Amino acid sequence: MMSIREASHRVGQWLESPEPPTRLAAVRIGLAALLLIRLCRSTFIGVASQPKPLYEPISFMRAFDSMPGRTVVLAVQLVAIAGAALALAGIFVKVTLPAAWLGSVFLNGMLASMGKVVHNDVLLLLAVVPLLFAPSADVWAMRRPRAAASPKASGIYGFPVHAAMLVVAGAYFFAGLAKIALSGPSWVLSGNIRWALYASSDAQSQPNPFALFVADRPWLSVCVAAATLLLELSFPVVLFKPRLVPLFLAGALTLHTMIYMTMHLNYWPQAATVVVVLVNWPRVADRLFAASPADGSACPRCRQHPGGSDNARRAPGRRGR
Amino acid sequence: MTLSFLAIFVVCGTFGIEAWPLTGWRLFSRARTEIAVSSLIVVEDSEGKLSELPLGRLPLQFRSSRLVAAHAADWPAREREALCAEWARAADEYLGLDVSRVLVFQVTSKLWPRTDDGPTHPPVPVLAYSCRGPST
Repeated sequence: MMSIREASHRVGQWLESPEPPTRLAAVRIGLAALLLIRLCRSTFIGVASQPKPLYEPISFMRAFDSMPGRTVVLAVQLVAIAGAALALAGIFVKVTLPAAWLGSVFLNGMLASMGKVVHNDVLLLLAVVPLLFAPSADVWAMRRPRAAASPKASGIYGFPVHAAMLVVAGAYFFAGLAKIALSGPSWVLSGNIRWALYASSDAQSQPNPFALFVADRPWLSVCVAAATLLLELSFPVVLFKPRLVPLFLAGALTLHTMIYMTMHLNYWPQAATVVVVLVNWPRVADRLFAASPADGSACPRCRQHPGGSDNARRAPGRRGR
Repeated sequence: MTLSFLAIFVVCGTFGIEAWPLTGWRLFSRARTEIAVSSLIVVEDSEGKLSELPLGRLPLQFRSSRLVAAHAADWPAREREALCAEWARAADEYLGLDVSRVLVFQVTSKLWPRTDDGPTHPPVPVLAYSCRGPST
């Protein structure tokens, strides 16, 4: 059996395994776009200057005596929006991406200080962390560093991508682990999902037909609960079996779509983060834009490209085989 | 830095530590039962008429009032009075209601048995606390 030391050594090796710079750039572009979209919401200004008795600060927000005022919120939001837009374009990313991230953490921290921990944007915020100071603009950027004339696949580009993948897989795994730790088998077997769906439907202005369809069938509720737990606990498999990424993506997207349809809880930022981080975008681009000739062989130009088919074949799960 | 972040991420996830944005990922982790408990904020006008405070018609700042109302059951009376005064002020400013008293109920619903119209048993509201509005 593998010792903890050996396991951590192998995880370390996987984290530092090479990826093409295009893979990291694609993740930067995707996550910066998501940050930008989420930062453009009017919700932050809407909750600014909230009456003090309603303010229930969590974490770093305890440093603020009351909900920050509109002027501060607007200033932070504008700086963060500019940061996210510039990071998306690949301009001064080691300054602009941290600015967008800090602004997002602050603004979402406000929403999480209203009586309930808000998880909608948490995965997005955490997945960005490994990219904050990474060389993510060496390709696919409007302003590239001079040193990055024709970068090759390297662990420098692989590490942030794999760390973000670890965060995504970890989020689902730990969500499953918390269910086991706090509820045990009863999370699946006790009718838990039925009661959650009935309560949610009753709280909505109109009865929710999707929620009631599942809740009215106890066997289906148990199946949904079991499938959810199975998906969450097995999510780390995607880290070592890249071929299973489409399966887990489909599972995560189905889960979040069902949650939205039945409970009207919108976790699209989390679902989008999963897609951005787990999909090998350079490989997808190769397949889409450098379509194979009729005989099925890849085009020669793709093989010379840093993000081309050759590099994409160096998927973590295939190293050393 | 990233390795330290990953280590903290794993520790928070493993032990359920909340240090937002780091989290223990506990959402929906406690198994529900057929008994659901929620809060209801009711305002009483100067003529003694009771009506539910329509939170959906108040600004976003009041969106989470039901959750805060539930937490406030354990607060000191003075802080609760301040909270009620804000609800009363908002009801006056945005809905034109003259509020003399705010009542917060803990509502217990039995989700089963039920018909197409909802649970068979009506929800049972129990007064958690009440406080005066600013007009008295």
